[in-house]
Amino acid sequence: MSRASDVIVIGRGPAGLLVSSLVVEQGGQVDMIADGLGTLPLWGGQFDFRSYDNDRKPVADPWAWWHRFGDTHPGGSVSAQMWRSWWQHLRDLWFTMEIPTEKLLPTKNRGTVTPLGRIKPAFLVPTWQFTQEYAGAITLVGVPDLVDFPVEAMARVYTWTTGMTAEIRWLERSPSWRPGWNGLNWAWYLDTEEGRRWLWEQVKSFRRGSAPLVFPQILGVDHTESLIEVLGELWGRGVAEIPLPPPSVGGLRLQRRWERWLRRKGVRLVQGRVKEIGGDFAALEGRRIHGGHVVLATGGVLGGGLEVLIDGQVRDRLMGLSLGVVKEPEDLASIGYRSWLEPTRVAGSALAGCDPNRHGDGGAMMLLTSHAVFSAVSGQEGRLEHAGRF
Amino acid sequence: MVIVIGGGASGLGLAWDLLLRSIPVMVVEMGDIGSGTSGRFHGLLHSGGRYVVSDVQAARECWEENRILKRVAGAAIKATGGYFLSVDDEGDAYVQDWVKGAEAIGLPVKEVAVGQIRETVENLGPWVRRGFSVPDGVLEGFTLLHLLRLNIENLGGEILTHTTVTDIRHENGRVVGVEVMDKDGPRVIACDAVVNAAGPYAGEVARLFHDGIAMQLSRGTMLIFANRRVPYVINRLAPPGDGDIIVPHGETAILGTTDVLQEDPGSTRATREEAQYLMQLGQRLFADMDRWRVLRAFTGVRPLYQDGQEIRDSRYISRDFTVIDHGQRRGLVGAFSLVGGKWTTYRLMAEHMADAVAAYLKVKRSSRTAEVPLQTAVEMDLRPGPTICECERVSLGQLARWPCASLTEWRTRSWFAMGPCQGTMCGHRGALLAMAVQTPSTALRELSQLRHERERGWWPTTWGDNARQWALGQALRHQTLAEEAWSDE
Repeated sequence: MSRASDVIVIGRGPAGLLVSSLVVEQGGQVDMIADGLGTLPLWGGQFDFRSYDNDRKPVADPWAWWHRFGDTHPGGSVSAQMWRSWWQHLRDLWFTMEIPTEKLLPTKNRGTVTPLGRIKPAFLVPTWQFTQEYAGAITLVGVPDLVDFPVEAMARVYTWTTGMTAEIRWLERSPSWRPGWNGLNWAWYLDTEEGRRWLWEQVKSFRRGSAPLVFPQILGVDHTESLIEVLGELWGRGVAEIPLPPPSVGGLRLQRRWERWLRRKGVRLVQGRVKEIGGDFAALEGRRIHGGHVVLATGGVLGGGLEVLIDGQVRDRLMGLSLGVVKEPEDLASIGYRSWLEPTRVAGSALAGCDPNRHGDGGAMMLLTSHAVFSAVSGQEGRLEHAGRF
Repeated sequence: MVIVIGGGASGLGLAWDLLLRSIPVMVVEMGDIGSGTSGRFHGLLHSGGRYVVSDVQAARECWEENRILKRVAGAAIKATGGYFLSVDDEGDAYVQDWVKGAEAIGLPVKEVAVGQIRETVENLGPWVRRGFSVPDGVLEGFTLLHLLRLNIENLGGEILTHTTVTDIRHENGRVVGVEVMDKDGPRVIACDAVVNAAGPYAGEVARLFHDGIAMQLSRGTMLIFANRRVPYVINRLAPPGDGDIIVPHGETAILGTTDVLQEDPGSTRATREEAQYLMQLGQRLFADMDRWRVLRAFTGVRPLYQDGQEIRDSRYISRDFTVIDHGQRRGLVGAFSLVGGKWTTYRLMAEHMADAVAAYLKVKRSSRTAEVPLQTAVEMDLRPGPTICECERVSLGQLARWPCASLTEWRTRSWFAMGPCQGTMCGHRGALLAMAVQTPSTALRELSQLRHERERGWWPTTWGDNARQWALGQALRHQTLAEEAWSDE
């Protein structure tokens, strides 16, 4: 007879991981069920607060921005103090998971660089990601045949947009290199002793420079920080990375550390496709898992929790609920659950009203929905303490 | 010299025909090669089977051209064969008429047991009753257009793209030149004759000839599926209608088509409603089509011509295609229009048009396009290099063959960005590669154009897995790459 957990979380993307973490931090028992790998490895591991205004212009101070919403945004009624406590909590949580971030919560968005060589805003990022307060000179590291990091073109775009110089240093092909290596292949290689030693020699042979050394995101999966530390000593300046398109190493690092932490806290991770849910159970092929609450963190349309039918209807796959009909692309952002409380607990991008593509508010959306769900399940569950965390 | 307006099948076909008669030619195209109707069709090389009942003349021409094109343009044609399938709600009478019609034009059709067809085509609807094999094929439109371009340029013909004809110069009612506009501004090009092969824009061009022609534009929308669901062409054996053809095209299959009159020659945006409608029709042939992985929808505008006025070549009064000599009507002397027609008969259309132009120029040579095969490019032995587009397996080496090409040209030549991810993972790579010869602003603008072009056809079919793919594409474009956002200089 299997145990009944306090909360069943379906989905292992960022929202599912955060809800599970909140519950186990309060001493609750969690079962996570997922049929895929989760969406984190699709992204570089950057958590946005509010990157763009309604005209797609970058927002410098996201703290100030959130006051302007009022009722027009699901997060409009959240106070600055609440946001601060949520972001601070996420930072602290990462710290315990050994995901490195800066000591202080950012007061403003900073600039990171995209694989197109352009600047874009970033809020909370692990320290391995390259960010700067003001655009300055950089040195890009070219990797042979890595088509997502074409340094010559990036350098031209960077100089064209910022007016600052971008020098280039090239790595050779490593002895283990194979045609078709992507960023992830490089990262696994650079986790090995052979790879690390090879890279040290390469950087030692680089012509000196005075700007930070900016790599594509390939500097290992599990041993990134120590590698970056050594490279920093060799180069004499900052060393950091720029996230690449999927498979993204930054998100994978986060997920591995996050899930390792959850498992240490006793969370069971069940691989499987949920066929049916009820108020206190989730049914997989051939088995049923019981729990006090069921939380859906199934990732919206991309995660597969919401499906779009031929006639444009958007339906929650598990709940069988129709949430609306899409006619134009913009509709996708406005279709979803209006409330995360009914009919079940929904966290993450199934919430209507956030549009991370347009606004760069994906991190805020995750915090908002995950804390709301946590507050709802813990408020109703006697064994869980909800001792006014905020 | 002859100026041909329009770089589609009929325009390039005509240029090739004239060059083989040693008549110098320049083609003026307002967009890219094949950016109009010729790049927006289902890829069916007709055997004529579709028209044996409704339009015998067109059927005869298709069957004749089908055999000629396999000979002279083999590199752009896949002789897949095809089937006409009757579904149980069609009368036997039509099937009999159809078989008789096919025999009358000498089209080799053969009845094949449906059970045998089911062995090679999965999930054919249970209501399919009879099947007939026909020599249909697949005509790879862009391949043939680029082949024509290569051969035209090899014979010294010039093709100007992104160049618009703004007016015709004439003296004593006779054409002496055209005024064109390109990114460097206006200029005048002298010529002896001008031919309007502008497809759906033919009505507008004819006005420059001081003559009007009544075009009837009809939009045809098609759906592309991500897998080659059928090994050969499947037609519904019924009077030609909507959603009754499925053509295997490379790794995809195309379902066509609709037929709706419209006014605007440039309106080629497919709608969700059209995509849904086609899915309903397609499910008459394949019951499980709603589970096929769809890629995108696209719309072509058929330039149909319905004009009873003096037609130069009376043998072709068929609604099929028409050669118009404006000098014999009320328009300029030395101005011609080539209207109507279909891809399969582009060569024949070009031949008749070239006959008229040659007669006007008093050149006695006749057409050789049915005999002279199109030469294919010499394959350069390039290091393939890293893969740029994983879906279509396009390597850096392939793109490097066309170092000055635009993203659109790279796409239509190599099929880069045409696969299931619709350029999500390779669009930015292409743009950055193009920066070897372009400025950053031009390359980034082209990237934005590529995204918009892909999304136009992608959105109408965002359901099932294609909706997830769309969501991934949007997130990558707007968040990871932040392509459309203002940069914070």
